[in-house]
Amino acid sequence: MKQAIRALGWAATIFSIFLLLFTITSAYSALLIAQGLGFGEPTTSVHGRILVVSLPFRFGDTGLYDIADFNVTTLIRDRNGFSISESSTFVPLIPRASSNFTVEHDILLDASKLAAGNLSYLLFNDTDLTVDAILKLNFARVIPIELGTNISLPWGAPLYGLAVNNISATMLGPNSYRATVIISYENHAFFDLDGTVELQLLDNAGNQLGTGTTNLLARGGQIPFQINVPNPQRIATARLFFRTSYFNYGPYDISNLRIP
Amino acid sequence: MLPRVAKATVKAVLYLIFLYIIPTLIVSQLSSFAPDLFSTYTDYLAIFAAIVIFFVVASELTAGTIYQYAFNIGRALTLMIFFILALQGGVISQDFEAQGFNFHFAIDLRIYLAMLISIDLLSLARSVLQALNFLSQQVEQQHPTPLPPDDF
Repeated sequence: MKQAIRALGWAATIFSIFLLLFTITSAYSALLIAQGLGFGEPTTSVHGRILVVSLPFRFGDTGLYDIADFNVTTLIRDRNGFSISESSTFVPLIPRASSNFTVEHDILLDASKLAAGNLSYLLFNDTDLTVDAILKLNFARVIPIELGTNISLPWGAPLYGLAVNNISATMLGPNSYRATVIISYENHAFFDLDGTVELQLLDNAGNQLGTGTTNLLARGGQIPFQINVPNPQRIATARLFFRTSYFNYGPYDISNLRIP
Repeated sequence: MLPRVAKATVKAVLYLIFLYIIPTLIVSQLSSFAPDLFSTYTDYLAIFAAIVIFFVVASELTAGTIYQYAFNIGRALTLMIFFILALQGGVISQDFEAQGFNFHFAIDLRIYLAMLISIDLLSLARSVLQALNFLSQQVEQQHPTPLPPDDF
């Protein structure tokens, strides 16, 4: 029995020393990681219709243990909870004692999605978006850790305050008029607009009276259209179609127009 | 009795330094990083140190009796329950605020908890065997095994 007691005593002692060492070294490594972890400057770029916001994570020192299964997920939602973007970055292994290890997390924003369905109001209204960020990692391969936060991100509408500013008509001849329509908007988005806007003038019955197309202004402003119409008094609705490199949107109707 | 008390006092002071004062300093350093997250654990450290010191002193004062092993068994069982409660069953989850942002933090310490419980189980097994050994020795002293006859 004495041998068994001695063996159990040794086992408990060795196991305790091992656990104590692991506790101290892992706490020390966690401190090193916490002190060395930093976020670089976010950069934006455009790939096709996808806006990419790159957020670099910098590890100054990863300490004495590997970081496995490093995973960053960001979910961007609008005020109604509709998902705008979900991006994930996975790094299987960040080796121990790594200095200046950088992980780049790309947040992808498909602008064409903004022009669809429930999210189209984001083209015209500034609002706050909710960003849920979840960071998961497996420390020393035995301690899974999860850190989550949600932050509010201001959203600037690319076609903020879109309106018909002025409409007038000049007579060119019998049953021939030139309507001058000025539309205006402000681009509050972080990207410049390019592409075209098409304006169709419609009467009350929805018949097309005339149409014109012109280029969009990168940061907004006033865009004049000059469109030949048979009778300006019949103009009731301005119908707009936007074709940009980020999104296509239309029709967008501005009704109750009156020639003064 | 006096040497026992002296030994128990020395042990209590050493345990106080290594199980309470030094860890509290480390945790207070960590608290500057996320005060909400670590402040709870200062209380747990105090409870842990109190449990260990109580049982160590009690075990020392009752050395040479069956109560010494009873206290050792009690310590192993109490620490197992304490670890399970302090580590919330192995998955600690907490909300805290840092640098103006609200964070949700979760850490899965089930493997670590399993290691802690394993050590306590080893200590428990050792204490039970020691108690059995002590009792059997006492019985042997009270009823010594008769020697074989000379002409055997």
